[in-house]
Amino acid sequence: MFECSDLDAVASAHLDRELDPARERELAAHLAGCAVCRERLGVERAYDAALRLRLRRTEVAPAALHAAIRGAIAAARPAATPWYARGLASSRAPRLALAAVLAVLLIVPATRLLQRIPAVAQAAGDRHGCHHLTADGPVPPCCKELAVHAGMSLGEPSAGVVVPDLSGAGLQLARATRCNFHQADANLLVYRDAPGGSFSLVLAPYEPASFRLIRWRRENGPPMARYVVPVDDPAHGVHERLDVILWRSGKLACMWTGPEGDAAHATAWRVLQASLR
Amino acid sequence: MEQEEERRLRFEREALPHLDALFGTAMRLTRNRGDAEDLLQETYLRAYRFFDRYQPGTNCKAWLYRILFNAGMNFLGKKSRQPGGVPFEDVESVLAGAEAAPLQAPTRGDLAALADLLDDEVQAALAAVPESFRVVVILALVEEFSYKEIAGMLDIPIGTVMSRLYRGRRLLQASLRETARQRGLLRD
Repeated sequence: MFECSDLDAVASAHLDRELDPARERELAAHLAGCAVCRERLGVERAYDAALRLRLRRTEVAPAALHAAIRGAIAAARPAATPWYARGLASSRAPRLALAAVLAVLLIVPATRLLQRIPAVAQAAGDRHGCHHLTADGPVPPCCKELAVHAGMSLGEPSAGVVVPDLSGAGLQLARATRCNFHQADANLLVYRDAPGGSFSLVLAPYEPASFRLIRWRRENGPPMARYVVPVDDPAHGVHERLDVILWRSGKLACMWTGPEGDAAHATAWRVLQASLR
Repeated sequence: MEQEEERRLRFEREALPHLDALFGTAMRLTRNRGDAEDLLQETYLRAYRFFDRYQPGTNCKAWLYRILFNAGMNFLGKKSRQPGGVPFEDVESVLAGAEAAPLQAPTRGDLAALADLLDDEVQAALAAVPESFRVVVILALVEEFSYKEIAGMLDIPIGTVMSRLYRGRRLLQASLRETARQRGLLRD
């Protein structure tokens, strides 16, 4: 049953002709008997049309820009297939593996680990400034990006994302929300381990590049914990199980994710374990 | 394997005709001509490098928009970073703020006031809308892409497109209302 109070929620999609047909029929039936909603929607439609006209100011790219782009293309070469994607172009696993290696770079408060990172991953970390991450250093760019882009709470976490129960590690869930990160959805999970202290991690099943975040402020040692998180997201064709590894050392808390069983993961896992001995 | 020259000509034929449309969007995104030009050069170079991933016969303009937004987010992110870092607490406060008060639908008074605003004022009101909402408003309202196309470009679910568009429209209307108030075209 369509109520007057429902109009606001459907007006935008109705004006864009994107409203679900069943809902559209309900709206039409309601409008037939409600002059108030007809008036409201009429104003909204007129406002939308006026705004569209006002915003659609034609811009023409300068001739110099056309020339510069043609010149740049003539000098450019197409991208070669990266080593980690050869033979696996349709799989997300290679990207996750790279993300995992990058994540290792992010969770290195002890610089000795850096020496064990493959050169290709180190170069990628350098590009992101991730090697600057130290226990007492400034917040690295990747974390700042999160702060800049986590601009909106979109409500409940994405379907299929299991929020890990970290009570075994002494952490209680404080907030679980879907948010926007680099124009992609990420799931922001915030855990607290004591009043005034907090521990957080971002779990972003769609964009491996955003598998990072990490900020901590409480002096403490391990524990270290490992969880398997099923991610089932049909809209993005993602059906996989990710390992999430949490590691605390000094003031930093770290997360590492990778496809379960992946070779890069196994290596990194050994490196992490060795570093704690 | 496609010859280099053949590939370049195909790229020029299919991708370059959309430059003006992308330029308009880049201007609205960056709010600055120099930045828009830099962003488009980056976009077209990326598109050319990865032109093998474009499927002929699909919507080339939508594919280019997708690259534009990916490049744009990095670009805008770099511009907006401040030295010293952003405390994580700020993220939480931003998240809390996003759940703020409901926004008002337009009235006949708003409609009349809109007609009296100058083009530059309308563009400035759009520029004042937060980026993630502004992008969706531009794509849906100005460029008239379908929700499905927008979802593909921004790599977000259709439900997210709808919620951002709803809120983006309301934020833009509120921004225009505020401009009209400042001009004395509307009273509280």
